[in-house]
Amino acid sequence: MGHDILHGIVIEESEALSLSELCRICNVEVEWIIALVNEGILEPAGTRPEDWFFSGIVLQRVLVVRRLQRDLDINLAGAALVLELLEERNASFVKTNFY
Amino acid sequence: MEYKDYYQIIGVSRDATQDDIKRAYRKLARKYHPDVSKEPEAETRFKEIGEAYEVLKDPEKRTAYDRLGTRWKSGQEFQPPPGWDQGFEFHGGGFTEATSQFSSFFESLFGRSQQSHRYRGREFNLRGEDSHAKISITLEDSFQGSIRNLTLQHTEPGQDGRPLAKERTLKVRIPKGIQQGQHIRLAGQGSPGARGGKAGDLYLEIVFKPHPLFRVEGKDIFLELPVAPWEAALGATVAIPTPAGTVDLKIPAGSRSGQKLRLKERGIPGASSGDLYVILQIVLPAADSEETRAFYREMEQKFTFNPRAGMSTR
Repeated sequence: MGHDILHGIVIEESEALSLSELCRICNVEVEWIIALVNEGILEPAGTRPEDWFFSGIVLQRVLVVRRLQRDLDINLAGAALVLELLEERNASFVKTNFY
Repeated sequence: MEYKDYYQIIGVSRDATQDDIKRAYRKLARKYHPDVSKEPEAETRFKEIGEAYEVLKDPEKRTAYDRLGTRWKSGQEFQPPPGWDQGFEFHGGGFTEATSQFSSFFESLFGRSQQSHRYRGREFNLRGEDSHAKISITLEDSFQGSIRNLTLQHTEPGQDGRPLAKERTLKVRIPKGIQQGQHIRLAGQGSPGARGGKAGDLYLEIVFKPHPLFRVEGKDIFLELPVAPWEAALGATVAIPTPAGTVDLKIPAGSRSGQKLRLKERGIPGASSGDLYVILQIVLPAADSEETRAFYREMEQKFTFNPRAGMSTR
């Protein structure tokens, strides 16, 4: 044990996550993910929560929002705003530095 | 083990009120939050601040910490005096509820944080929790794919019920083309299940180590390339480094500083590979001898050149 090479799956590339899978991976309650969807932070495919599918790319967003909420004690709307500003800052990196 | 001055870390005096401490902590937490901060060492600082606040926000822990006295200096070799915590009863059995790792100084005073083993659902076979860790890799690891050893620390309940620190090493294949911030799922490597339930999964978040030459954004890679004025003006073919090895790059005549040249599909490999962007930086030779100064003066005479032509200055 411990010497076998472990092969994993890259979540962001290969999977569509159901609501319950996303909750389990991020260790959060279903209600909290639903709140994220209602806030417009996540946009799952499918109409009802039981049919929802999330692209693996959302994992990072969910984890960042969870950390922001937990560590800085900000509400969901505030965390969503911070998340958007962060994404904007990263996207503008190329422009501000290299144009 | 080193003494930690929690008041100094938070930046308050020893007689600060709980409100002062909270305010100071909040400010620092926003400044150094690893998801937000651009400060160097933000993560280390954030952990330090968190640990200091964990003690100072709790009147019980703060009183106990204050009893160590003021003769200690930050960083000084420290052993807790025998029986120092007698007469104190920490709620929750002396263990903190936080899940993050604290310093050994903290643990010697307040015990090790207990890993919570919570199980979800009402099934008889209870699946273990998923866990998360970060793994830092080099750009080259992503380019070629690689095998990395990863040492993980966790706590397990010991025979007397006190948590024990355990370490395990995993050998993990890093898939070619993985990007910063992506997660690798290792099935069955999370917390063990209960009553025959399956173990949880382990999620590894990929963090790129800073590279001396390349900056990575998603799948694209950026390289700042110094060029001589004559290379930019006349055009040239120069050898440049890429993560996959040296290639020859043709610099077109009349290139400007800051101009970007795109090398298609020489970024992070994948089904749709990223691109490599080379940003030209024109570097001037120093005028550090009579001969070179004369040459610059000659340029001044021979060129009709106003670099501020578009500025309408007088």
